[in-house]
Amino acid sequence: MASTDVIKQGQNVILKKGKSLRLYQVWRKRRVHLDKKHFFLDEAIGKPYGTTWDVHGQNVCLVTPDEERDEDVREGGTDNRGINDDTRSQKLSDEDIKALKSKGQHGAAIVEQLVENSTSFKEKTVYSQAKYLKKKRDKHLMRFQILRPNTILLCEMYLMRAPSKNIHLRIDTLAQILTAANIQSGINVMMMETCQGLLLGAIMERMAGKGTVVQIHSESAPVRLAVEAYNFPSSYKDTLHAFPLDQLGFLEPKESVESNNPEQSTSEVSDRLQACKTEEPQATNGKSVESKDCPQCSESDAKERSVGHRTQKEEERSNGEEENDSNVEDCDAAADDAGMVAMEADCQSGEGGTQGQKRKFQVNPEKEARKQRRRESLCRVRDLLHNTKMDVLVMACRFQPLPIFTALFKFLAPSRPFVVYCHYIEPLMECNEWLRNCNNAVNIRVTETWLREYQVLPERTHPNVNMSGTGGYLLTGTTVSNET
Amino acid sequence: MGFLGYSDVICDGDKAIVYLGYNSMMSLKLSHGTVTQTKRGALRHSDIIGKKYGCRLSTLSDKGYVHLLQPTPELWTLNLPHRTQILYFADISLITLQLELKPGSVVVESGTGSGSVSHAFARTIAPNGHLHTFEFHEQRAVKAREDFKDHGISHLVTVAHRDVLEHGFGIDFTVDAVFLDLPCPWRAVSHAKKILKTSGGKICSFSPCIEQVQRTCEELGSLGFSDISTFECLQRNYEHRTVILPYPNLGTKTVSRDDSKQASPNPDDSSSLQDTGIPGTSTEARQGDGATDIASGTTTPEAGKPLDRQGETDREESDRNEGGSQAKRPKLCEGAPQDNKKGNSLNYPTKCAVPWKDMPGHTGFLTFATLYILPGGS
Repeated sequence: MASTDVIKQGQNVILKKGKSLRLYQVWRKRRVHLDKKHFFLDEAIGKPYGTTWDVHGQNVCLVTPDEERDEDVREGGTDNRGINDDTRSQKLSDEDIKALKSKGQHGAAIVEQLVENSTSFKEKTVYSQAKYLKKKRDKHLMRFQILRPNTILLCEMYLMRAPSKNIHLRIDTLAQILTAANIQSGINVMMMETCQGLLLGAIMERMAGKGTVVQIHSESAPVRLAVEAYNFPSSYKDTLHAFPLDQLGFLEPKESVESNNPEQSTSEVSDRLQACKTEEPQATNGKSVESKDCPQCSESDAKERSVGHRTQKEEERSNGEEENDSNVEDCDAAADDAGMVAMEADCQSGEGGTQGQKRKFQVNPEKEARKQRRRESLCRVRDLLHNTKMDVLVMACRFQPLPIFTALFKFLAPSRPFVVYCHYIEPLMECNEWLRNCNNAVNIRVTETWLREYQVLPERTHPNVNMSGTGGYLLTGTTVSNET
Repeated sequence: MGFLGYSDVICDGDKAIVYLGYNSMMSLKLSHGTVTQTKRGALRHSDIIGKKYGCRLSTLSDKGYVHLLQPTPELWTLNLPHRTQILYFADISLITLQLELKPGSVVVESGTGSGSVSHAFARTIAPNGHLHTFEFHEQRAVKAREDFKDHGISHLVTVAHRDVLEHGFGIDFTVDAVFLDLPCPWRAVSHAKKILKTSGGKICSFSPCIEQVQRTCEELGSLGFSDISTFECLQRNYEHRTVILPYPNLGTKTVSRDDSKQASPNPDDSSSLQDTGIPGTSTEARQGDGATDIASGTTTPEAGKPLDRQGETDREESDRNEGGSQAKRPKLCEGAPQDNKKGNSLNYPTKCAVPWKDMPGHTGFLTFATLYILPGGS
């Protein structure tokens, strides 16, 4: 067995019990939590992935494949005419069951007792018996599987636990994003997501550490929770370049920035930032920022972040309206627009702003160094985007897609795919219309998929009773140039 | 050429995709001295070679123009010569993800068919993975081999002419994943088990009929595969249309009635937008757009109307014959009395997302399973 197939300390694993999935990092003597039980995974270290385990007290023990198989039910009644819903069929009371449990009875034994004490079990049809057993086993057996995290499991896990955090991204839609974007090793990807790093992780897995990913992120630092789960080699991170969403104005084409006096345009951006940062005690004053090439990113302070967000939304809104009106990418206008928003924001929080500038602060060399690094990274990404045309644009975020889409679209080379996901169709239709007007894309599609799972059992095959109503919508297409 | 990576300039011998217009494309193998007829006019290959991918090219005699695209596996699926029935984008995407394909994966496919799935697989497992594809029809195997060579992916794909159901896969190493698209997939499951990695090897079977699925699932279960699941995945396309519904003549003359309509907000719309974090903003943008577009000059206090008409027009859309344009609008108003229609005509026409009239009702069932055979005694 290859060494990659066994569970090691420090790795992320998924515990699967029935439909519930949990992500944990494996460490000796670290407690994990599943279905109200706490236990240690120590025993599992060094054992292969895919193994099934039972919880015994605080520890887990391996289930052999023979134990694992559910024995088939052979005898049963013909139909349910004799079965009444009178709650008297089970002779064991809740207390009895609790007593069994507290005696430390194994789950399988409890299920057996339940069957023995059920007067109606024998009258049930074999199918009904199988269903009953499955239900009881799921409830009383603390049996779970340890799996290697992958895109499917992570997507399922997030979708079950907090669909809105995951922007309702469904497995088939995620699969289509990756395919439509033609994600492969060695290409340059430009992407924006707000699904906790799930899409980024999926893309990184398909690129295997070769190529470039420019990740536009909305918070002060990119959220890459799910990326950790993949247990990627650390070298994969070298392909990642983060760029904050609220600095997109800084990406104006070089020529226009130069002709427009770079100092001024960057200072506009930093003004805007300044306005957002007034709550931050260690905010640098306007002067020192102006003299610098790149504005700095804000620290993660909840209050300040919320202010920043508001500004950003305003900017998006005004940008979006402008795009709708003129349907042209006018960089200068966009820059002015951004400047205006910055001023507005300044007025709103004007008082705070002056306070922030007056406030004394100590220069922390570590912070300065960090800021410097951020500035350098911003410039690096800007240069990258200006010097290298991107091979694909992928977006799956909770923001209005059009403003971001129009801001990033111009960095794509001709004859390259783009994919925008949205849980709602109308925002994609806006992008669709913008694309049709700008004439820089062909094969534009807005699609939705319908995913239905089936129960396949002898004589009992049918679609599952419940299915997902929507997996969201995708806008896909190919860029073209109008050079002849 | 774009089957792997991207290149900028179109070269002699490349296969380019000629985009002719909405829903209309063709593939073109380029060679100097050839002229190809398209519905937009003739294309001289020498004019194309040396141009950049993505460029626009006028056809000879200036009848029209086309765009020249780099082929990707997805574009190829839409343009390949059908030698068999093929799998399409939605199914291929789900299969690729469920089989956990990534660079370096070793995967087996049977049968090759027209190579629609093969191209997508090859793209995903490049640069260091490998696809072993089996086809029992000799000529198809030969053609597929030619295609892969033409498309610069032959180093990633081995085509074998072999009847897998009768003779198994005949390979003596283990693979990460097996994809079966065969008439009797259950007969191939035991062969697949022999070559799959036992530490989580993945198998997928595509079958159009439920009886095939039934037998395959039984076989998978009895051979010790776990996590057996069956899905159906269908894609629906939408288009953007301007929807114009005539204002109904109710025989009354009141103008105030549409105020009451506006007063009722649409709970559906606002609640659904809430968890985007920006409630209402996207509708505002649309309305602003719509108002200037339609009213053009009229003062419109109605500009901020909720988009609650979206739902109803979607359904009633089928009554209307085709996408209207600005020119058609005045005509439409003729039916309704002038004063009544005035406020409401600002709502209509409206842009709607309309599903295509036809969509696939069924492609096939996808059955997935995982193989974990645990070493005894561990």
